[in-house]
Amino acid sequence: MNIFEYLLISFNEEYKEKFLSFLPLEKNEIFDLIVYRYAIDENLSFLVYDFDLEKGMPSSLIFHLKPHLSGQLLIGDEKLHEILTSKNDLIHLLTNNSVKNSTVVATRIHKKKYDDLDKTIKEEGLYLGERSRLYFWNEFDIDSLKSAWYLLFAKLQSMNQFN
Amino acid sequence: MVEILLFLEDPCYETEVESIFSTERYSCKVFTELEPLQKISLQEFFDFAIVWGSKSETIKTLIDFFQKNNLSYLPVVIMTENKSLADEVCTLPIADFLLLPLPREEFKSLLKQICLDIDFRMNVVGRFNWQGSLEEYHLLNLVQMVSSDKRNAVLSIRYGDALGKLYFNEGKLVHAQYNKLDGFQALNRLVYWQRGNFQIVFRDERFAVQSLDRSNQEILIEMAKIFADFDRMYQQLPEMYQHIICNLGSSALPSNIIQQNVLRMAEKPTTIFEILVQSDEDFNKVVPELQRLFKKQLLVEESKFNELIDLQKANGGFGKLFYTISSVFKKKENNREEEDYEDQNITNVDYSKPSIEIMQPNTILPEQKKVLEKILVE
Repeated sequence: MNIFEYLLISFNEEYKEKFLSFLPLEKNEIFDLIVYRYAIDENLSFLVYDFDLEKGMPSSLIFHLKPHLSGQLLIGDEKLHEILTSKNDLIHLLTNNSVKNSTVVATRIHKKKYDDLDKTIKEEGLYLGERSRLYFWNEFDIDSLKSAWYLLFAKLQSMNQFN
Repeated sequence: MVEILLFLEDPCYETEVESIFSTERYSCKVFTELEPLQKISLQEFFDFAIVWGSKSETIKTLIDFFQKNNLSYLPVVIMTENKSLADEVCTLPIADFLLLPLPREEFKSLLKQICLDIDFRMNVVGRFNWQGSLEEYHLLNLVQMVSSDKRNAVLSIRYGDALGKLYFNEGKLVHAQYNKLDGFQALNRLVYWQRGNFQIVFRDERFAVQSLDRSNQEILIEMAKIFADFDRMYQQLPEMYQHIICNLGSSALPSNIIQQNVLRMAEKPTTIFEILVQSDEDFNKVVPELQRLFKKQLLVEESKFNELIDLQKANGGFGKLFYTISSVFKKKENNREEEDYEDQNITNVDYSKPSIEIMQPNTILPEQKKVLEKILVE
């Protein structure tokens, strides 16, 4: 049984709901920490830890989770860049191992802008690092949400980890 | 006359070695046992020591003995036929390494060069240490020592991988460097070092670089001020070389990036000195954060760590949460293996071959296909 753990950081609750709405996720809550379980089959599951930006997370938990994380999905819009470059130390602490882990920075853009994007950029995102992509989405295209998950769970996943 | 102390591992070469050094230039005392050599090193003055052999243990023992007996200024030269010894002793404070066999003439010439080098340094600094420990000489004293000589020199101070350099032109301190910092910013990071080694190398040529344009006197006063500031700030913290560690059981949060970096460095036992040396920030930014981290018990002395963890477990702290999460969701097997490895006795470890991870060509693996199909169907 392979279980891969991810962190979900959303800068907008509405956006998060959109990303979670179409997947049959099993929601668990342990000590105020929300964890979604997404089972592909009996041999492969993904756990998604919902990082609440309002409440933060105790350092003890951060240090416990970090070594187990396979990646992170950051959801926001065009202001995401401002947030990521701000001095939000917790986010830096959680995401600073993105060289090893898969990271998808999912940025919502206007529908028109999204429609104008090249097909490859829509599917693959823009290269940020070996396992990191800047990915664009818009809720009018449900596939853009699905592809973000696929990018995170499968495409950027270390090939060796599946073996 | 150069006074040499020589340890010879294999006594069968004794006659030959004595014949090499039986000139007016050298006075060489040869020993085939460590104990009498150590004894005489405490009684007489020598210019340098030679270890002629292939056992790294002997070299380590001898250097350790010199260091413990305030003889660390004594340069140690290794002469060996064992090529792999270089790797084993490269981290030790050795002055030179000669790989034998060498043609007799070449050997003599190299030996002469070593003696000239040592002779030159000894004459320049007049029997003072030209390399040694910062526990014996503070940087302020070393700067004054080099200044008084009025020569071009580089004073290097090293602790582990951290290396600071001070450059002098005719005794005038003209440039200081530590990582990418220079001038007073670099001095600011070096002045509180009380452990590590120093080395002074004199040069004929002047240095073109310049980041310090004040007089030596002004620089020394400034350094003394920095040191006094450090001393004043360093309150309510454990001794600088005592082991400390990040307390995973604390429910407090690091409140800024410096605190996070410090906690990351303290994930394994470390010392405040090592944190200060490794940090990208000046001590006047790091020391207050260290004080806050100790106050919040995010950092603790290693000796008190287990005591604190027991207390937190008894109080049902976050330690409980770790176990709860782990028991609900089965962890990846490879993580288990890492933990097991740490627990193993090192002598029983069956080392696997070193390997590197190479990204495969971008073909869809069955698992990836499974994920894709599942997500698209949802």
